[in-house]
Parts: sequence; structure tokens; C-alpha cells
Amino acid sequence: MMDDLPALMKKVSRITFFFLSMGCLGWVILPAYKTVFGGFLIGAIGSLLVAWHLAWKTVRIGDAASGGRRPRSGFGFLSRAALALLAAYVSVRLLEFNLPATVAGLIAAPMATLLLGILSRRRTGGNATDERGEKH
Amino acid sequence: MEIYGLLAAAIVFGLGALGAGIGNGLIFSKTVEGISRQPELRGALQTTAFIGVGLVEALPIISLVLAFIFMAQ
Repeated sequence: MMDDLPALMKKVSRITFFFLSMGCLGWVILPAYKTVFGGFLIGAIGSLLVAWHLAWKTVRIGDAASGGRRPRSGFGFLSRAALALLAAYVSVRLLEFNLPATVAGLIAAPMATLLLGILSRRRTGGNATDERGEKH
Repeated sequence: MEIYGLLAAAIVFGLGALGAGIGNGLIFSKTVEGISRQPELRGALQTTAFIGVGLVEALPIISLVLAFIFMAQ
């Protein structure tokens, strides 16, 4: 059962780095599609930064909740949106890469998270939090 | 034509942010409630919240990028 957020983040980072390596390979093997692979690379880097920021915020909120404190800051959606926007701006405007490829790169880390979540659920047989023996 | 671009950007990002706001609020409120009730399940709840929020936030981030492009047109 996957109940360790740092371990999950390590797996998400590993899968996203795999996507990045595939993008680098495509950049080298197919030079005609450099704009597509470049956009995908920038988007995937942005999505990895967004995922790390989200994990950091989730841990902070969990710490505050378990300590009985009220979290002082929000969930940081604005920072994550700004990170994604920065990645899109650098990719499309400054480097003139492909926009759909950048958007595809931006959903690389969420897709990795979804994949790991589905695999984790399938491995544990459905309910991931029935640790108290409340099996039906 | 420019006004249509602005209108499209506003609708795309506004609706995306509305859905994400509702989804994030539900996920984090239940997570904080669960951690307060059972602090020993913090790891599992945090992981579930991370997976849920990661999926919920993918859509508004994409809509933000699309809005940015619509606005520039």
C-alpha cells in the first residue's frame, strides 16, 4: 500500500524523468520535430515543478492539521498556475516551440500520478485506507 | 475579434478555476478532517489528497494556458 508521500513523489519524478528522456531522444532522433519535442520537454519540467510544489503544500497542510493548528497560507494554486504559465510562456513565446506539445508536457506528472494511483488501488484491492479492519 | 478572444479566455479560465476551487476545497477539507480525527493515518490521507488534487488541478492549469493563448490572439 502506498501511504508514503515522499515515496510516491519519488516514483512520480522517476516516471516524469522517463518522459523527459524520451523527449530528449526524440529531439536527437527526429530533428524535424524539434519544436514538438522541445515544447514537450519544457512542459514536462514545468509539470514536475508543479507536482513538487503540490507535494510540499500537502505535507505542510497535513503537519498543520495533525498539530491542531490552522494552516496560515492557502493551497498555493496561484503559484502553481504561475509556474505552468511561465513554462508555457518560455516555451511558446521565447523559444517558439509547439503549444499542444507544451500542454501535453504539462499533464505528464498528473498522468504519472493517475497511473500510480490506479496501480496502487488495484494492488491493494480497492480501498486503500481500511487499516482498522473494517472489511466488508 | 479581440473581444471574442478575451471572452473565450475569461470563460475558459473562469469555469476551470470554479471547478478546481470546488474540487480542491472538498478534497482538502475532508483530508484535514480525517487527519484531525486519526493522526496516525496522516501518510495515507496525504497521499490520497495529493493524487486527487494533482488530477483536479491538471484541468485549470491547461485552461490557464489556453486562456493565455486566446488572450494573445
